[in-house]
Amino acid sequence: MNAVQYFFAGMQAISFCVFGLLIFKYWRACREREELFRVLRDARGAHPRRMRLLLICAYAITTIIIFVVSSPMLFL
Amino acid sequence: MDTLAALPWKKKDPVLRMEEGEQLLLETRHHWMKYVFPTGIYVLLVSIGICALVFAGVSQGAFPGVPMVSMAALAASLIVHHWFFHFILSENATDVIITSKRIVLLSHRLWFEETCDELVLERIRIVEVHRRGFLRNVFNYGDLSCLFDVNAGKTFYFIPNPKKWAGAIERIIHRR
Repeated sequence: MNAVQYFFAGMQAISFCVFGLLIFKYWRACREREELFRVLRDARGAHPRRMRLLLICAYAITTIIIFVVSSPMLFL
Repeated sequence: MDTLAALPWKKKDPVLRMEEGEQLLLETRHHWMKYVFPTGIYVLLVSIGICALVFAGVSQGAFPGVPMVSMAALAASLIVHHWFFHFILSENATDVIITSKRIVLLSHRLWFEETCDELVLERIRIVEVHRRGFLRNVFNYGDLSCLFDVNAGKTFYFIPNPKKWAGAIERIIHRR
């Protein structure tokens, strides 16, 4: 592997970690908020699960697109 | 306007604890118009980055500067990509709540900040709604200022249907 390939592999690995950390924290924040509104006995503020999943899917798909587009550089 | 030093605006630990007899009246997140400009920037920059990466992949190192361009394009695309989704996810985890006793701003900046700020309703003297501009009137969003004094208070930005919020706060103020 040359320097460019190491750079691409490293960036993709870092990116994957950032993605995982952000999703983890976001999911936890939503769960906390759900808990709060359950205590208030009011469902108005509960984040809709569908919206949450939609955001996560959009994030995952765009990350995968960037990975796929950049992967040819790994095999130069 | 945002004089946070003003006494009724308290910064607390990020967990909201409701008091006895306190009722939830309204709850919202910021209006979606807040995301339009960052989304435009994101689409523009990531498109440029992806085009540069595709060009680098297609040319397969035929030009001497291609690896450097592709490295810069990948780094820029990923930074913009994660910045954008960090912003969107953080905003989606942020709430503005009005109860019978206070206004609470539960804000998140994932992994950086998590705050629960509250404004005691009994100290509010004036409520102002600012909804200037074509887009604000068409999409019905604006800024809501809660003033304790002539120039001390807190402004909440990008509040959907701010007149409804102002009405709810005024009803509580006048009930006292």
